[in-house]
Amino acid sequence: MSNRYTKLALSVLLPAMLLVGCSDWLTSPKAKSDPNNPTTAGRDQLLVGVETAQTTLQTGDIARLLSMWVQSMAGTQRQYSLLDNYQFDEDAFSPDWSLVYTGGGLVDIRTIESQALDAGDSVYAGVGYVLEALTMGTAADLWGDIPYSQAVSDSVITPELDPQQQVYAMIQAKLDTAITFLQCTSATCAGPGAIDLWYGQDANTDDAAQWTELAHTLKARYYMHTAEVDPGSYALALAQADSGISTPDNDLRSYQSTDPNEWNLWYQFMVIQRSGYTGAGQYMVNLLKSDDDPRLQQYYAPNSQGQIVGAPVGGGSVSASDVSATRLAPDFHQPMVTYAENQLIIAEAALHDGDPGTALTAYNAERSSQGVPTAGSVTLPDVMTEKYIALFQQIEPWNDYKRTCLPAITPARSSGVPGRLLYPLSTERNANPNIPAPSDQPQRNWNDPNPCPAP
Amino acid sequence: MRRRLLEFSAILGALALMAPTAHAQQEAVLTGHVTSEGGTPLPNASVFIEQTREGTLTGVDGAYRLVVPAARVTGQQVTLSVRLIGYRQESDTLALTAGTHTHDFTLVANPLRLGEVVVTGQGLTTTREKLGNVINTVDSAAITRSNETNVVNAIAAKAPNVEVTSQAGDPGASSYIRIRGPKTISGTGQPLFVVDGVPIDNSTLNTEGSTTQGTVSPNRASDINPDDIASIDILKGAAAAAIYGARAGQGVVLITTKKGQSGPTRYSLRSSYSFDDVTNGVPLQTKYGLGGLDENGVPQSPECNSLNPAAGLDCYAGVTTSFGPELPAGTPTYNHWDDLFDTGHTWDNNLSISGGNDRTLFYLSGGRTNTDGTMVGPNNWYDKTTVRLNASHQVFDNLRAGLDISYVDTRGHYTQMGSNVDGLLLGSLRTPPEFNNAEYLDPTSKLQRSYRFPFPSVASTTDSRGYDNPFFVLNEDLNQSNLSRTYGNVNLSYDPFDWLNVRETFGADYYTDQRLEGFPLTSSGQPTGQVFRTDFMNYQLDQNLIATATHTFNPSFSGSLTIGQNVNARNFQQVRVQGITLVAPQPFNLLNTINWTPDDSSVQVHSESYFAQATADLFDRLHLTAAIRNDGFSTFGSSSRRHWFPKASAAFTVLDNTNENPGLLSFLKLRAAYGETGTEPPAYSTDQVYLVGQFILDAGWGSALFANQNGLGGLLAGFTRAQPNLGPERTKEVEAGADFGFFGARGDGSLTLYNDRTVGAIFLAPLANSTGYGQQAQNAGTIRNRGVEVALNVRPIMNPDLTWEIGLQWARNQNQVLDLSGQQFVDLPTGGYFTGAIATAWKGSGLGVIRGADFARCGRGLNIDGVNIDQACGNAPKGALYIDSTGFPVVDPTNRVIADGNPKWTGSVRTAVTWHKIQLSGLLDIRHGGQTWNGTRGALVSFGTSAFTLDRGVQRTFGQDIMPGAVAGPGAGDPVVIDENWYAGNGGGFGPVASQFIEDASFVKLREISLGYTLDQPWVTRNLGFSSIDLRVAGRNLHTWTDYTGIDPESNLGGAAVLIQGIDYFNNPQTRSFVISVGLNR
Repeated sequence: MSNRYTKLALSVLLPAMLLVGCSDWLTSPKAKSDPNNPTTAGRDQLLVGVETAQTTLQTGDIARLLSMWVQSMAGTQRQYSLLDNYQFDEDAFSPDWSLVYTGGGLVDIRTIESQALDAGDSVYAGVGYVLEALTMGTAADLWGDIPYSQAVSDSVITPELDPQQQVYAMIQAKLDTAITFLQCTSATCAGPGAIDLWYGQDANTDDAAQWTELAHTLKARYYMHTAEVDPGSYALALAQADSGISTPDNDLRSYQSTDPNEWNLWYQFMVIQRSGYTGAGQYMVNLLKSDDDPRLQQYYAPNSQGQIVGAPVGGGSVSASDVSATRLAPDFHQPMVTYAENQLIIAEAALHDGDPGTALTAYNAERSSQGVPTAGSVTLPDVMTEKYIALFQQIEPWNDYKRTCLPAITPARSSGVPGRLLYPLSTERNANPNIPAPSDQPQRNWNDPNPCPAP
Repeated sequence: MRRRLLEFSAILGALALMAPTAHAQQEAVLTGHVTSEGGTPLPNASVFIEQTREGTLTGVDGAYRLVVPAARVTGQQVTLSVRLIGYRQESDTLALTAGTHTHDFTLVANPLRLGEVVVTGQGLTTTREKLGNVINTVDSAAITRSNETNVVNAIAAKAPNVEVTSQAGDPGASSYIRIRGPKTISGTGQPLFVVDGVPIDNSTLNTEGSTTQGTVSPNRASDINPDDIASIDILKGAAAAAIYGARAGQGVVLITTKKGQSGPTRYSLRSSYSFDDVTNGVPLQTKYGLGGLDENGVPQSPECNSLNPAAGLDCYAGVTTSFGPELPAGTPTYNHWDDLFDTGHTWDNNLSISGGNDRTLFYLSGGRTNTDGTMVGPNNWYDKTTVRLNASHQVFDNLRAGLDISYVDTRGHYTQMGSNVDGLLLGSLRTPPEFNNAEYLDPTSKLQRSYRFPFPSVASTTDSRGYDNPFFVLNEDLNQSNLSRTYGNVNLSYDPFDWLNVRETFGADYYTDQRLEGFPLTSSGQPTGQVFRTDFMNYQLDQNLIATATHTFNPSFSGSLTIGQNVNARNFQQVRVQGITLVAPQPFNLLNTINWTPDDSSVQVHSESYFAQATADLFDRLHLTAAIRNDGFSTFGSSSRRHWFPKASAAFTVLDNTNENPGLLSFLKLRAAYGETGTEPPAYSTDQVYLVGQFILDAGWGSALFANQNGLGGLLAGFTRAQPNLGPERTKEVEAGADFGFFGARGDGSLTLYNDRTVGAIFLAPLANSTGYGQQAQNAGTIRNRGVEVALNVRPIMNPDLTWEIGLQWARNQNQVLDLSGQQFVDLPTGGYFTGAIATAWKGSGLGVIRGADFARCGRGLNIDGVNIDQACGNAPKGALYIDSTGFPVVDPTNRVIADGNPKWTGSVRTAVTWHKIQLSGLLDIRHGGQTWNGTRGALVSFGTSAFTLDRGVQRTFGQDIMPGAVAGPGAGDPVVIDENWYAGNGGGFGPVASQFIEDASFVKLREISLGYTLDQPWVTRNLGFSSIDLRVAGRNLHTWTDYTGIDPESNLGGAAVLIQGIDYFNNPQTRSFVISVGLNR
């Protein structure tokens, strides 16, 4: 009988030993968690990703588009001829929308902020807040009402639109907090240091001070964006610009290099990927020529006939000039927020506030920094034209044009220069019922109720 | 009455309940002959003692001799049984005493295969009459007759609703298998392959990670030596496959390998040699040369062309099409199809040695296949070497240990194809007829010349050739794979009591595949040259433990209970590095390149499952089976870590008169089954990750910044949001049918109906990006497959000297995507992506349909450029082609389903005639319906090289002699000139309208034809020393009847790596073979 029980025990116990003993089999590290990508990210690595992604938003697709719409550039071929004529569909700017919110955008900026605060590094958190303001401010400029207060939240899968007015208010509050944070001098407030591609590459500067100046200039910028509906904004902008970017050395510029992975996007687009799609815009070229402005040669290269020629809207048949070799250099650091913008905000706001002396001082300071002659008096068109020239290749001239209708370009179509972009279908509207269909979307944003004259 | 309940353990060859007590003086010798009813000796029948499992095989003359050692001869009652596939098992009881016992057996044909053992998975077996669901079995003879080196090809047309599509005729090409329709959106739809109870990998891995370009790649089940296979059992539906749970959603292919038998050692050597050539070509024109229309619409040759070397050495022909003037009489032209191919050969040798004694059995085999493909040049071959040992030993009377191990070495050199400027046919078929590609190097510069770059100077080492010269592709590119693989298992079978068997199997499958692709300087894809170095490593460990208890309560009620556990680990790693710009022209080596882009990743999946099965047999008529499996997978979300998969089936034998008075209906079995299976989610979908090594794209313009900048690492939150609740896709299936026999053994058939619904099909659903994420995997699709399967076999002649058998199979599967959680369509993630022809799952249509644009047609409510098409159509019928005032159709840009690759029905006709020792057999494979996108034709009409463009300059009228059918609109009936403007525009493959290149891919294929003769006369043994010699001549895929105008209706660019079928874009061609085979047996 004992033999029988031995056999029974063997046939039950041996399998039982195999059945237990692997309790964590299904949750062993490599089986449960992706071994190819990290599941956590430090704020340093996220900051590099965010600054690179936001460089793409500020100096890529949108900057080229809006340069065409303000006619400093022109679409000369294929899809760019259509974009130049304001022909685009609902999905044309889906990837740009993604840059605002997904990896490299708000979702990662929020992680940087919370990690920095957890570590007691208010300077780092302040950098995050400024990045957030720049990113969301740009989105509010382009699309008007945008998801913000409910965006990037674990609990909301269909974020609602916040009114543009409220978005700007939240951005101003963010920047106020950022300025406070950036004052921190305690030992925990080391800030990003050399990991910061934008202000951290020069060891001899005070990065926190540069970020603080940037925050003030951005506050001034976004006050100006509400000035069309709220004239009180000029004084607020003026006050902020007084503490804004104090020297061209403190301009916010992209990081680029001669490494193919780090090439300036204008170079990549115009030389490597889509040669011939876009060229110099006729309005800007003619403006610089008529003023005998040295920036003509700084901005544009002679064409095959040795001439600097701008193409009319839609391209026409002229052989339009390229952007100059200097600005198309693979390692050209593309300006994003500058001393010039700050001084010209002062000039414009001071003119509105009846202080032409301050305006002239700021205007001439900016002109000097650009290496162009100063003036004895200044008008609003002078300021806006100078800003249009100085902020070449940036997004901001489109915002200025919508607000001031200066310089007085002739839009490509009678509908006028588009006042906003459509919400993207594939990256938002498709999955978010809070987004209206194109026919139900407003033509103009809250901050820009008055269309500019059109042919 | 024989006890069938232990049959499961019989197939394991393991149970030995020896009676060890008394000792007799002498051995017992059992001898006799086994013959058929007609008196024909039956070789290879298994003769064995039921109680001791001692056995042997009959010889060529049907004789057997089984010696029982004296120690086990005690005068006990034993049952002596004879088993042979195709015949009913016979038994005899006798008292086992010393001395010689003679027992002859006459076996009755058993076309219904009643009593035959069927492998049902997870180490379980049953007999065919007890099956409540369909399991199709393909035996070794059928596999051998197919002459295929890829086991998947060998089962083509062998079972209803098991569709096999070969990627291409290249040696080593993958083969796609689809069982009862597609059931998944995110996977490749390939079934689970299990060899001797252990799952093996059947991936198809592209060196470059693409599914539209690169080379063919083997599906890894092709590493199995078909000569080692004893039988293949195909678990088709969820009702059959539920025992494999979440890995069985696409069906299961169970492969049982050959085992040794006790008795004299047997030797078998089989050699075959084949002559292979390509089948259908692509129709090309040789009338018009390089050129195009000038501003007056007159064909002109460009100044720069190969016939005019004076135009300049660096002359780059900007004109790339063949819409030039008619070539002058006497201009030599070249056939850009035929030039590339010659006769290929496959040399296949297999040797096996098997035998054993009453305690130890072994089977040792070696195989070697050398294939020299049908393309000219040295780089088109595939060699496979396999070695296999199966051995088992009776350690104790109640414990048997076994080992099965295979080693495989495959090496191949492949050829670039597909949507690929370095591809073979893309460059060749676009070449104008007067350009001689054979001179692929410039005589002066020794650099590649192609029709778009006919006169390369010494300096033009890094100028793009446009498209590679096909002879450059064949001679200079390198695409190699070196694979080493070991798989097999060790197993123990323990019988502590006569009612209990415990069996443990531990299996492993390990391979590394080293790939190297080298593109020399001047290659069109990367004129500075490039190298892809890819290493794949895959291993799988599988532990399976089952215990089965059986009990006979009384003669009319018996049953069994099985419980088991399965633990499985799979690990896949790839390291791929692309090196761009060669330093020196050779070697193709990463260090010899300047820029490196790595892409390395690994995937590890663990699972742990429990299963139980109970069977009951009542009155030998009613057989009930119920089973349940509980699966835990590391790929399931933490909140749904384990899932249940039940099944139940019943088989009821209404009538069984096959042995008695065979009337019209001699046998009838009814069966019904329900089961559930699953498809596991993609690994790591449940984790939120940050992405490394990402490019941040500047919209869709090609420009981008890398996330790492200035030597600083950058990370980005993953675009895909984690789905912590992800579970398996679940297929629920009801199956019912009947098996019947009539006129005794004269005929038999089966009818099966099934209806299955896959719920929770996984796809990436878009998310509002303002959430911070772009997409998320969801268990959100519902897919239905339902169909009918019919098989009918008749044997008009059953004489001892002459038999004739005909088998018919017919199957239909109807597939429909029922729901996509609010989406109209979801594009398939696995391949088939071409602008205008995108493989997709479309709600209300089939899975894997192609979406794209069509010409505008009446009745669609279209408004195009301000024209209300329906109004302009007047009373024209719905679907009539709208012709505008220019006389041409216009583009309807609406995205719609333009093709469905799923066939309407499939079938096969098989016949076999045996006359004395001559065997003649044939197999027709039939596919009706199912469409293919002939993108090759679309491109070639655009280039003017297609023979379909010979009507250039001719007046045609839409609806009449071009696109015949109903037409409407202002230009209906107006003749127009068809020329380059049409073919290069809306009438060609680079225009927006893909629907015009959708073709019916129905075919009838002469899949196999075989004539064999067996030499087994006494003089063979006496003079040659062999017991028998098999001689055979055979043909494979000798002819295809089809209306398809491309290379072959059975072709698919992505092969088994993609779910979608029906994509033809410069695929490499299919082949047919003529085979001579000799088998020597001893």
